Amino acid sequence: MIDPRGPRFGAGITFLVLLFALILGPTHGWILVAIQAVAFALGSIAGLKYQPYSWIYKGLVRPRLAPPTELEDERPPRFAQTVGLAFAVIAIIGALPGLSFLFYVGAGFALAASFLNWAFNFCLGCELYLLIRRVRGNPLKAS
Amino acid sequence: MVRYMDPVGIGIAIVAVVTSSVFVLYRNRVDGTFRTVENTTRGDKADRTEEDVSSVHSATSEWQELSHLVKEPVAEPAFIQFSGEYCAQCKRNQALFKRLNQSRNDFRFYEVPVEEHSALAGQLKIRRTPTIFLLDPVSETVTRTEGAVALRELGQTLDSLIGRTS
Repeated sequence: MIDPRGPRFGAGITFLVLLFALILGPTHGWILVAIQAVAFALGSIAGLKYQPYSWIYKGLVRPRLAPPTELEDERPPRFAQTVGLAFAVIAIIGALPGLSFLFYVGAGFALAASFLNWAFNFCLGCELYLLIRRVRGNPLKAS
Repeated sequence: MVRYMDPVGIGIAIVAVVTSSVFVLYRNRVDGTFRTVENTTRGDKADRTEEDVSSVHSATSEWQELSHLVKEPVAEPAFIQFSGEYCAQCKRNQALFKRLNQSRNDFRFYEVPVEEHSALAGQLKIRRTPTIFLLDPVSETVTRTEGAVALRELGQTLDSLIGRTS
């Protein structure tokens, strides 16, 4: 179980990184997307507590906040990191000559998803995860 | 600095932010508004398409499934909320229905864990939690909504339902 404010804080940083990546375009922006891809990969493969933005949240932000009123399961936001990683990889491929549209598509979708989470507390990847579980007939249960 | 800026990237960023904002604003607008399946099938019977007829059947089967689920006769308007285990909005809605119940007792509220009724959730095409059904015992129709509900709108929905049926 995790503090739900952590992933939202991380989405804010992700939004800024991807925004600068898009402003710089595929030629230079792919470096920022690659850095973001590493953060996504850590969150997706190793778990959210190894995600660099969650370290910042735990070290600098959470001590200044009241305890969370509710906790949430780690699996949906972790899946959201995997979705983010997929978009980041598409964007990195888009740095290759002649494939710049992939950079805009990948970075654009990841930017939109991170903005939704940060600004509106709407985690698109989490909703997708729950929908997949429900459609497959094995919805998420309390662990 | 300006020479490193990519106008296409800036355009994509603006489109992404504007599109996602419009999506959330639209969702917030439709969330909490009860919609009936049968609204699409009003009019002359001969005008109904095959799809319309199947909507009527679908609404009827919704009524049967949901009234069976509450395991008691539906004598007054009943809200049935399908909730998920980690759905924060479901808990907020539940608290709101409790508050509404303190000011009026002319309705019933039931909460159904979607995890325990996944087959029914599939039949009822539940894609999000919370999904709330409102059963009207007089016309035996079902309306539904998703997401956050507002106390005032809930009261108005009940008023119109009770005013219409009394």
